[in-house]
Amino acid sequence: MKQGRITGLGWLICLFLVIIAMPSTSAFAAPASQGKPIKIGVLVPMTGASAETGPKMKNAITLRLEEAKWQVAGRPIELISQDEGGGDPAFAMAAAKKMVEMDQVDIMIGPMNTPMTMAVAPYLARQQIVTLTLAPVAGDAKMLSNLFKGWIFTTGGEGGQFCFPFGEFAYNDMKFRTITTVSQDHAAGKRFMGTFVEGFKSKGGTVVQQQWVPYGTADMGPYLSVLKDGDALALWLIPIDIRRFLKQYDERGLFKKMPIVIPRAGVIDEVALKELGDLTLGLVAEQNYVNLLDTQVNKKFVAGYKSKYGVPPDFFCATAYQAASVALAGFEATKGDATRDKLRQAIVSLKLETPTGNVSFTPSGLAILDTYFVEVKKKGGEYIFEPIKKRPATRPLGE
Amino acid sequence: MMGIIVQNLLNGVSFGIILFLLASGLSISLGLMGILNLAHGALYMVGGYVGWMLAVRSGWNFWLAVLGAGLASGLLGLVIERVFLRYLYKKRNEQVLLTFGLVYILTNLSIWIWGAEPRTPFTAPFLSGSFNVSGWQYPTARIAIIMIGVGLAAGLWLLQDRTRLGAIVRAGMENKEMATGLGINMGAVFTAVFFVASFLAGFAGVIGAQLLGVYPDLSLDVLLLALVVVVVGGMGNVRGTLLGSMIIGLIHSFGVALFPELAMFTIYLVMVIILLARPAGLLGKKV
Repeated sequence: MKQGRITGLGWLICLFLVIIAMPSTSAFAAPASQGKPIKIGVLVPMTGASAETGPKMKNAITLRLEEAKWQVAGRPIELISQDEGGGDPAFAMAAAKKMVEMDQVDIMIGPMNTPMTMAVAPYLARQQIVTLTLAPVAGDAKMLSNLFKGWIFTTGGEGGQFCFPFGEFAYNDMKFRTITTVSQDHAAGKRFMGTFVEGFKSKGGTVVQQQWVPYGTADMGPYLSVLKDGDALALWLIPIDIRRFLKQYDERGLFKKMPIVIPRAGVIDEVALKELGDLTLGLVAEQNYVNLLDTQVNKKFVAGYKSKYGVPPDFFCATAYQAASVALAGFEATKGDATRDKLRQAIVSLKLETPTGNVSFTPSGLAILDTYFVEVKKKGGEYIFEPIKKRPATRPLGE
Repeated sequence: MMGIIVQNLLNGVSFGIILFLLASGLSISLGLMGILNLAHGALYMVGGYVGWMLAVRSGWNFWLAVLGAGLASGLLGLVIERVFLRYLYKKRNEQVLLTFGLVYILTNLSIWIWGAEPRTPFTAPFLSGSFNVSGWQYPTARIAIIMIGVGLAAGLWLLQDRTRLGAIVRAGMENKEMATGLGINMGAVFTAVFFVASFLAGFAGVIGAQLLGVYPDLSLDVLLLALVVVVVGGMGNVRGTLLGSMIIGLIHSFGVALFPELAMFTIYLVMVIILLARPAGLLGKKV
């Protein structure tokens, strides 16, 4: 090797140095106002399977803080955000520790994915950091209360509290009597489909078959080949898998045989509807937010988000915006006092209207939220989720 | 029951063909050049994204998009070989570290360029329907995948076993110094082989996207499958890779259909059994 020449390995080292030197944390300092800043930590996925949701959520939180002019109760707000990692709970744990111990955040918004939340919850509860989860966690009220110890608020709700009533809806309103299910074989998939089935059965429905698809399954063909007939297929898979499934379901002409219902439609957004096209028409789903909700708060949110980011907000944006609203309302109630227990108690007794609907909490911090049953329609060339029924004030299951 | 068997035969073979397209490039660079390219899955993913960009977003002809994706991944592979890997021949540990790091770099670059939103499976318009077989419908695209794969397998086999270029590559694999002594520029041959392997990855990325779509985690998901195929089939020869792909594809399909509780590890179970019986893979020789 000649001296003075950078070899491939040399380039590689330079590249790594550049990457390491890149800041992974971004902090927005607030414009001048009195007092020590209130630090809001945000833990959202920026890499991995749900990497598209993190930036959206951060955008929505930024929008809410901008509306508040980056201050609350006279104190400036500082936003510190961090990647929760691409599916690695240890990564989320390290990020949470860094934000608590080095950045000394006063409140935490996130994580989004259930495994991350479950991993960081005991630590955050021990540190007594008020934490507002994004997207629904999974588990019975008793289990969650024990784990969260009142410090982790299920701002995004709990999967079961939405899916159970959707199961009842499938029986009562859609008149299905038998159902076949396909769902992801992991905590969230089991919880969502499990509680949907419980709700469906509680009214007298029968389950014909349940298939569980392991995480990372590439080909959906084999699952379709052994599908048994029911009045409807209840389907919940992660975003890439549900696209693969629906495409193959359509190509095999199965929509003619069995309509599909989707508990928790967050896995299929407007981009997916557009790419999948007409085959999605008539899909009925459950979601605790769609951007067509006809309330003042929501219209303001949708307009604000659209004008700032150029696209309409989705369920993830609304949940993040809602969490930011809860955080701000909490600090308003304590008059800017970030003492941990005061903040916790203030949030427990909040009653708030947000774009997703009314938000309040049980004494142990589990959210009471509205949800909506929606149908995919085509209007003016756009595919949309149109609300067909509202189910107000869903409560955590197994209280 | 008959329907289930026929459908899963087709499912298994078409999925197996995607695995073959994916794994053949990996097998070639490993068997012929001794390079373990863990970024092969990332090249596959980049191909898928380029194909999506051309075919779906820009509305190109699907086959042009397949070609464009192959070229894009091929060129990327060329850069990786020229800038990094040519210094690392015979250094297996360094290859693994380098190419695994490239997986993360390429994945993140893809998120920057194409966004993290998963992309729905897409295909050529005339392949998007299905045909009827005695009462049930089967997607046309999957049949097209099988035909493409069989054609490519035949082409690769002819190239490797029946042409002068194939002979040169095989000679270089046996004894690099001797081949160089006979006046063959092995550096250029290896670069060309790596280009072909990377081209195949990109090509496979779009063909596979008809079933699998494209998303950022794809690089690692398919890498795992490709490694299983190469290990089962044996490294460095087209027939072994084809055999490995078919076995894994069929085991996956029938495993899911008949023993769904075991779906998570049927293919790994098969891999372990085969490795116990034949440590170099079914048709492999020691590398």
